[in-house]
Amino acid sequence: MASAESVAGVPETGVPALGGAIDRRLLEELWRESNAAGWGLARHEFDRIVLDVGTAQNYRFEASAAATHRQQAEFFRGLRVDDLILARACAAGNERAWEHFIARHRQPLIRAAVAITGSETLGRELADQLYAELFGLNMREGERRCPLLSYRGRGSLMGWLRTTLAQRHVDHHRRSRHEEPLEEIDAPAAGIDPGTPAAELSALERATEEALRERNSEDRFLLAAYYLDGQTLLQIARVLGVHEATVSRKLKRATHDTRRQVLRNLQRGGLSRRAAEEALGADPRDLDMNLKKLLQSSQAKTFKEQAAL
Amino acid sequence: MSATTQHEFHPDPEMLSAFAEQALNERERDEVLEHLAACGRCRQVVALAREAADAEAVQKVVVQPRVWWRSWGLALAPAAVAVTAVAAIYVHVRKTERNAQVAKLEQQRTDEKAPTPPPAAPARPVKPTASESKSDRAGDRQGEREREVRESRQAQEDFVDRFEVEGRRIHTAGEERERDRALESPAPAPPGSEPETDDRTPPEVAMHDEEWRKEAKEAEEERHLYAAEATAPSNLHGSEGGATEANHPVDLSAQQVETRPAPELSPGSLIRLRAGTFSPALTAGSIHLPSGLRAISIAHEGPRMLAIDEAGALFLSENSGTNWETVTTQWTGRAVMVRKDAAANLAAAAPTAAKSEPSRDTSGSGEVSETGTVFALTNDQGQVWWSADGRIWNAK
Repeated sequence: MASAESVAGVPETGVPALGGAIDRRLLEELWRESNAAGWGLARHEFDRIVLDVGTAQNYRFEASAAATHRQQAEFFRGLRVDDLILARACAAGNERAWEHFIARHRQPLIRAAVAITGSETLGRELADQLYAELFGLNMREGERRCPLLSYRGRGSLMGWLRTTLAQRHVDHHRRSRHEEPLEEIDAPAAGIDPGTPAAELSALERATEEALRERNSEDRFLLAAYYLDGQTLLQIARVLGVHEATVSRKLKRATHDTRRQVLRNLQRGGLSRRAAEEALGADPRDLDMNLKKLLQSSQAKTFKEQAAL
Repeated sequence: MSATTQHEFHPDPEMLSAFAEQALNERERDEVLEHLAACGRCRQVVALAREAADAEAVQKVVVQPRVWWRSWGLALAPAAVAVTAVAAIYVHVRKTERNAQVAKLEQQRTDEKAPTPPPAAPARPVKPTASESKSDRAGDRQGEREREVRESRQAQEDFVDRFEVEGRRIHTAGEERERDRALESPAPAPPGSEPETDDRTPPEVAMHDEEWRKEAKEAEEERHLYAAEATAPSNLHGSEGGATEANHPVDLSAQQVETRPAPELSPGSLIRLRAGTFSPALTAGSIHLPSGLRAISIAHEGPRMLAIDEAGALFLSENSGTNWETVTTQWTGRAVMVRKDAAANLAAAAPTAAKSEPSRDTSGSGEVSETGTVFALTNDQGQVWWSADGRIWNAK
């Protein structure tokens, strides 16, 4: 393979690209794929944006690691480069980029907002608010902050806009109704049936908690989305990108396995099989409510909002 | 948990969007799924964003060009027009042919009824020899007679064919007049009752009814002549006139036996009518007369049948055409048509018939037939003779 010249002018191939050097051929390829010239972005602006994106994330490597040109190429091929370049150009205040953004995303943005809110008026209002934010009217610490800077090219720009709209709408809905966070607004479990022995219910709750903890994330998501949120199989299937029948099958299996695991846990706690079945079948609503509490009380601590760059 | 704290633990919109678009690797997907299993807010965000994406996709589908098979609708329209045009042309041609046949039939009937014009003054022919002149005149008469016979037979067959189509009961050419009269002057209906027609009558039948009414008008003239000569009481009651001693009042509905109303048309009834009405013995072409010639006109009353052959000779049968006897010629010219007339006209013929011989009707009682039917014979000059028994004929 012939040596390639990096952006810094140093021929490099297969070696760590320290200092933000990017293969020129990769840049050329990304330039063609992004079609940025079609809406008037200058080449040097494109190169600058690509370099900023790569160095800001260090190509998804640790800060001390250096990505080779191949790794750089893999990094950029995993991104929606055209959307990413447009978003960064808009965030930088490029007028041509904004013209292209408006022509391409303005109407879909409004339609998405209308679909999310279920109202033409509310939808347009929500879209206008987000549009104002995107245009950089909000100031943070004296600087104009554009939410488009938080877009890093994972997924489509339109998908990001829809999700942002949905997020704004949910947050606005919760604030306007003075509701508690969704984790806490779900109806609490019904009061314990006084006729049911407390010890038995306590054992049932522990067994259920253990059973849910042993379920994988997908099963718990299915149980929560179906039983807690009341989503349909079709809605869940579209979120997961699988067929509706697959969701049905998985949900049925998750329910069956969870129940069997709860029984097993109850037996492990000292109950006979018959007593465990009676405890499980005595008042299913208790188990149902406990399931809701258990599902909602588990916290995922792996995500942190990354500050917009 | 404060809002700030919550915000720190939620995946950003890009991650949620990428999750919904299946753009995350397995590790990232599991992390997001783990969060979604516990976070109702993010599940709601993802669900709403997904619904918006589906709505957008539906809108794109709506504005997509039509599928290929729908474009065939444009090609089906000319095809439908072409089929309609062909059907219209076919109907028009059939109608034209039928009108031509009706016109031809009318012309033939007019020719039959019109008195034979006096022969035009022939141009002075070259005087032939005596033998040649005689043979030529005989040949001319024979040819003319054959032509008339053919025309007359064709007219009767056309009538039979027409009435077969209508499902009506036509036995002989002589009964056509009776049917025409029934159409022209139907039986008196009870007060307040609607004349029975036409709601159930197909349009085609109604059209032919118009034709029959035209023909019935012609027959009406003859009927008036009959009525003028008939005696009033017998006409009023439709009795058998002088044919019998007892003057039994006969209700007018008795006449309806002869001219019963057209039955409701249905495929099944049409087939039954055709099968039951047109027996082989009643069609002119299937009668074998002693002269060996074909019958050109027939009429019957019960088993009594009258038939005129192509030569103009009249034959009588008392057993539905099994045996025939020749009727002595009592009229001038050549007989071309025999028909059956209703009882209203019986008075004109009954006295003579009663004086001469009691008619031998179906029952053998020696009376004129109970329906009061007489036969009418028309010669080639349009003159009419009547008979109650088919043997004795009197000029009208």
